[in-house]
Amino acid sequence: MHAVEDGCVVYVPARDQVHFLNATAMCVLELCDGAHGVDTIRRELEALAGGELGFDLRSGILDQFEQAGIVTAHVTQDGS
Amino acid sequence: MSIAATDALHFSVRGLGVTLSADPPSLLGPLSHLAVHARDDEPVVRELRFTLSIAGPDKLRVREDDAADAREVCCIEAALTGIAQRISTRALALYADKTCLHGASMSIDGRPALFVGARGSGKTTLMLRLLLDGAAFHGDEYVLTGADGMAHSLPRVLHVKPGTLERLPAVAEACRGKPRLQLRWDNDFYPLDPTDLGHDWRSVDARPAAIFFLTPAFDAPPAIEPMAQIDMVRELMQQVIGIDQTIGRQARDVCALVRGTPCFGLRVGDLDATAARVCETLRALPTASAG
Repeated sequence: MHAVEDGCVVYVPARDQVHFLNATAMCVLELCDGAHGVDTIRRELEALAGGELGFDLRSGILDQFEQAGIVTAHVTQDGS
Repeated sequence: MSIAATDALHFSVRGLGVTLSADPPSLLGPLSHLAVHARDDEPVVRELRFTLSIAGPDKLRVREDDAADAREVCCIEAALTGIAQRISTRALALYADKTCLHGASMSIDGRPALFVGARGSGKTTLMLRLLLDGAAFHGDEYVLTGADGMAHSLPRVLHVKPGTLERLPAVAEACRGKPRLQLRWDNDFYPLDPTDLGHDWRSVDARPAAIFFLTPAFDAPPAIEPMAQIDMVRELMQQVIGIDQTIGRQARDVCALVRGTPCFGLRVGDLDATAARVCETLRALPTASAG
């Protein structure tokens, strides 16, 4: 992951592809550390944003991350 | 850079020593349009030699180095275009550890800036306008960058399109008598060296004070707006030249270049007004360190 001030570029070596992430998506990716579940990530983002997210975290970002090979989904301790 | 004219032309392009020779010597005249007069501090690490000769009534022969096989071309324009491309290719090969971007660079009041945009966005015409206004010209086509985020200009003669001549009479005067060349993927152009206009030309290594992304809107007023760095990274990734490197390394280098650098979207409108806006924007920024 190569960051700039308002986003980052993620390189996926297995696919030899790059993906351009805005600040919100970069923040989500940083929380995708294997310890945070979807619900926890949502709560942390809402705390950062100071209100409810205006988009569906799973379909709006996480599913795209998974389809792009940026993250791999697995069940966390909180079950999400 | 140094040039000596005897029976051959010699110059250097950031570490690549180039010798152009001709048989008969009268062919040196056309070859002189390819000479790059940009100064730099790089020691020559590789030599490249081209010999242009007559192969027949309607044929010229171009021999690179001392290769046994030579290329035959139909006319002087084809010979010059081919040699110019080979010089750039060989010079770029010296910097295989860098990411090469299609972009221009020049400094205004000591502030180096990069200008990128698709072909036809008005980059060369704007560079020439700024050059005539006293900006320090570094390069019009190639910018090399690496993990350190420095921008290194690699010189190539300016490719001046016929449409530019109508807008800049001084450039038209300098292009008078020059051959009109054409690349496969580009429009006709005149090869112009900034020194033809009486201006110095120096390659530099510097952190840019700003990066401008050009979009053409020649009938509209110019506009400069701050641009998100991630959007600039995306645009710059479209301007990477060469496919030898991994895209991951290109992303690393481009991000290093953009990180911490003010980025602007530049709508290129009226030429004089656009140049004025660029100067005004750059002068409002702190100076960057140039090498």
